[in-house]
Amino acid sequence: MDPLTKELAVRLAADRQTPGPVDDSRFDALYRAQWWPMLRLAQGLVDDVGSAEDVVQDAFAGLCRNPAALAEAGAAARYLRASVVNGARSALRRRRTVRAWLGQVREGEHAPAADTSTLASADQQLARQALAALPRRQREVLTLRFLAELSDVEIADATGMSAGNVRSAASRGLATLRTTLGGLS
Amino acid sequence: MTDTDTDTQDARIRQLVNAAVDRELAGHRVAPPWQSSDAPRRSGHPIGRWSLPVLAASVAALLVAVTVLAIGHGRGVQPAPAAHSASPAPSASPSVSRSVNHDQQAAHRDYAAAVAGAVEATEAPGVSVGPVSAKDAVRFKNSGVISGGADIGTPVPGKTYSFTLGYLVGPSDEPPAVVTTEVRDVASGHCAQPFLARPNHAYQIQCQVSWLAGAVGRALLTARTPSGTSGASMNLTDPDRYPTSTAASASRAYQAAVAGAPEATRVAGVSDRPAVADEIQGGLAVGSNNPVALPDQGRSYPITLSFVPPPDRTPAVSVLTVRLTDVTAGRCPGAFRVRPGHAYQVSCQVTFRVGVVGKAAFDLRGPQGVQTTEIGISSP
Repeated sequence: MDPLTKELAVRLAADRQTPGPVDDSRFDALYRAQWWPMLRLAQGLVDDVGSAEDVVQDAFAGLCRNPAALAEAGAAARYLRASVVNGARSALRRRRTVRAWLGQVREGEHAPAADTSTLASADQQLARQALAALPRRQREVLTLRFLAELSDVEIADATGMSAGNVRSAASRGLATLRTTLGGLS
Repeated sequence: MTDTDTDTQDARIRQLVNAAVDRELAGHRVAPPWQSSDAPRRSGHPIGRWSLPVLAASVAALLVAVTVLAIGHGRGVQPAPAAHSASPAPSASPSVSRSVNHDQQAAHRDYAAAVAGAVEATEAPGVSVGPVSAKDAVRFKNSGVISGGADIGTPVPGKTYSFTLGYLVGPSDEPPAVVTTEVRDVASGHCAQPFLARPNHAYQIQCQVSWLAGAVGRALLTARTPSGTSGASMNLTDPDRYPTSTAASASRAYQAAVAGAPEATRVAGVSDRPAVADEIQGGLAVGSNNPVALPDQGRSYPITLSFVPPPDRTPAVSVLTVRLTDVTAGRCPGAFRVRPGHAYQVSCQVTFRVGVVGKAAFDLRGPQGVQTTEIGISSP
């Protein structure tokens, strides 16, 4: 946990022995500190800025409804990470249905912007595509490892997997990425 | 390949993924403002809505008439099964509608947008879900059933009642239906936000209403699939026993609405502050603080609407209801009391219809009736 988040979590818990209403100013500080890391994580999982913002907002809204999640240091960040992972899963599930039916209407409705290829390097695009093509668990584990820099235990906490399964998924996912991206510069 | 080579390659992949994500998020680094106070959340996710034990015992006794009707789930309207329609003299007559959109592409687009604006049933407050029984799975293959409705008898205006709608989807190859529920002709009330209903599942949707004197009250449930929309409208009271009398009911309706509406400060998603002199002198004012230009299909946007009541309102207390129209999906806080000299901000969540100007309607109820003001909240 980064020092700012840790300090905020400690402050949040300091004068709240029992769960109660969330203190606005302290919640706002936590929001400012955690919004960007959570947005990056959500973007890594859902690959769509609008959906990522919705997922993050839902996560913070959920935190407001669960002041108990702020009762101990680090709990807020853990709660947010788990919420983002769950929210991303739901968003992707809905998106599959949406795209299945939009696909029957107009191919390419969600095609990348025309300038995407010139803005992002080819290697970056390849890496994103390869990560997105992994099975869900492997993708989630590696996204949490790459973008949130979490340990296997923290990833297990966020995804609901065991630490052993996290290590296994990470190993298989990385092996696939190495094979897929073997020719990276 | 050595361990060093592997580590180097892993680090390179990590760096590329991080760089790609940062590039995708360029321009989004600054966190949008978060509403403080008691409304730091999206209106689609109300706090503790269903945690209140609303007259549970008495309501159970009131729900004597359960009306069940069958709808087709992608295969047209099915006849209601006799075993389920044996309700004890249901006084509330349901009506079923089904519209099949002959423009298949438009239907698919509407369906996709509706799915994007819906949540999983497990995420919708007030909705419970379970598998259908083996017996129902046989009976309702390729069909769905909407149940619910109620004969609440002679309700007391201003008193809050709860009731449950049921929706069962039998085995089917159809994609999930988007179920929307609402109550109409009541002082205030709500059911669940739009949710996805999947084949082989049964759903229970809790609704709450505060009665409007002189009105019958209706519950509506709509299920949208790629092949069209099925819906049911059910009266919540017996229209014959409790007839509507619009001419004499405005004052009673106002009293009931005031009795049933909370103060603005107690409503999630509503802020209340003293109006400044210019606002008071300006008279009735409505507006959108953040109209959306060129909305993305299927994306849910938070919007904030402002409302300043007219200064010469007598009596001082009115009841404001904000509705969203011409949108795919949307949700605003329920009715609340407003007073002259105050300015209100209402947070809503809305999914727009591409190419259509979404609107917000402000219904201000007073003793003489309802004054409605409508504004556009998007530009197509």
